[in-house]
Amino acid sequence: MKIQTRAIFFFLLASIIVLSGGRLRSAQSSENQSDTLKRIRFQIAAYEESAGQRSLISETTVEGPQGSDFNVELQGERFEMSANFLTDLVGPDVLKIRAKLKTRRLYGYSERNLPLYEEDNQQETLDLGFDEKIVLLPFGRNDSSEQLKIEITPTISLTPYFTSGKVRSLEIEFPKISPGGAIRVEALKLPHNFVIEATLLEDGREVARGEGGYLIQEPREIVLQPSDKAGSEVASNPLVVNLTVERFTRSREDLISFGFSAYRVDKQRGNQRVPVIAKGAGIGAIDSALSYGLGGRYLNSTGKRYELRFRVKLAPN
Amino acid sequence: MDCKEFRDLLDLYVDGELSSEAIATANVHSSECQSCRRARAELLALRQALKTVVARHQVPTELVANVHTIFRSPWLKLLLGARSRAVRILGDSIRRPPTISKSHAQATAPLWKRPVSLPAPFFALLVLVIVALFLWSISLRSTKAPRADLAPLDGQTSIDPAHRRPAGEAFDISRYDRGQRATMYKVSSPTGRSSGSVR
Repeated sequence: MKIQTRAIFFFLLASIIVLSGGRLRSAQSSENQSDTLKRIRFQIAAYEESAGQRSLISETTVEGPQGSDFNVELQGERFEMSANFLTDLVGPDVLKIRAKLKTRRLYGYSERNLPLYEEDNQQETLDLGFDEKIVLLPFGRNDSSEQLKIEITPTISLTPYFTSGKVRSLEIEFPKISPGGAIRVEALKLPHNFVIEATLLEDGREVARGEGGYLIQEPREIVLQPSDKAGSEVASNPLVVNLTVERFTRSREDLISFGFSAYRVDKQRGNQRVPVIAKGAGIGAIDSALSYGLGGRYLNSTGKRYELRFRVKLAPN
Repeated sequence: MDCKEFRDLLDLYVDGELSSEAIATANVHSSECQSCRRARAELLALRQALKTVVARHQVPTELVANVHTIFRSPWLKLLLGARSRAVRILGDSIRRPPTISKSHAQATAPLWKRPVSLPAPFFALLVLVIVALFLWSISLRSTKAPRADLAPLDGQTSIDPAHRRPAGEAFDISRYDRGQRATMYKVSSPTGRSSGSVR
């Protein structure tokens, strides 16, 4: 059937208008629902500053729910840098950012013509407001000549849903890619909050327990409170555990690695701390139990067998 | 013409596909520049060697027979017939001078005035698709529990950059390296004064 082309154009145009009207209304309703869900957007921009001029080299935006992490890597022929950022929203307008900065620079060659490298590791924790930004200078401060500067600016995004109703997950965009891929950014979203239960077992019976919420890579101490079944020796020598959840590895079975130290608090000697386990470590799946025999290091006089058991869980939501 | 330009055009020059002016310029340069003249001679020698090597090999007779067998296939004849008709029509249109006809007038008319022949089933399908999309968009307004899912990238871009480096320019980070230690700090005010300096 013959139809004028313009009739088809008008028909399609009308259809588009009608459909877009529906989608706009659903987008507005999504925005109303998103007040309780905050998404953080990080703009990671690399600039070259020289003689008062500033030119953009690369730009990346990472947007995701609270607790999104990102890495910035710089790769050159003689220099490489890896900066890892763990972010957490600890207050209404405050981000806690834990940064690890590793640099490696070719220093020269040895007598046997082997490369010599100069390496540096730095670790910092910053509380960043949304009216602030982080400035990273991979090559240090240099006001006299060209300088490379990486700026990380956080903002809050209030669009946690797509117009389809689906929750937006972590997103990364590259409005401008650095020439030659010298600057790379990657983003990842892994759990940051965990709950750790620590139990002291005496001959297989639970005699003390402690529990605490942990933020990844933040050390925290928990005191195992003696239970009713605990004897006087255990009650007067409570166990204190200083633990740090170091890494969460997402794989076929999610794994958590942690490090800890355990002390016995001798109340009869002015709460003196006696080391029981120094620099212990463990890797286990979520909700699995990890046990450590204390041997005679905890209370040798009782002649009983003591065991420290951990169970790591993900924090609710 | 310099040596770089000569080398870029060398293949076309040897094949005789340059314009007469360009050939003349290339001739002048070739006569003046020994290395470019040598490059031309090497290319000519390579091509001659290739021709000699190729000429040594004869096509097997059974290959010719196999090709004939393949071309006797009725489906292939149909396909080739359609292609040859298309080629013939194209050739005719190139050879014949254009004539102004009613169809030509229609073809040059503005887009919205040109008639389009559209099969009725296709039009009906188009209408159904549009109605389905409309109903789907209405269904999105209902309050469902959102479910986490992998999502495509959002097409929004961020703030305008101060100045963009021209595309394709090489980027060497070593020119920023003065051997100093990396540093990181936060800037707490729009004027750029640092506060809480870490290093």
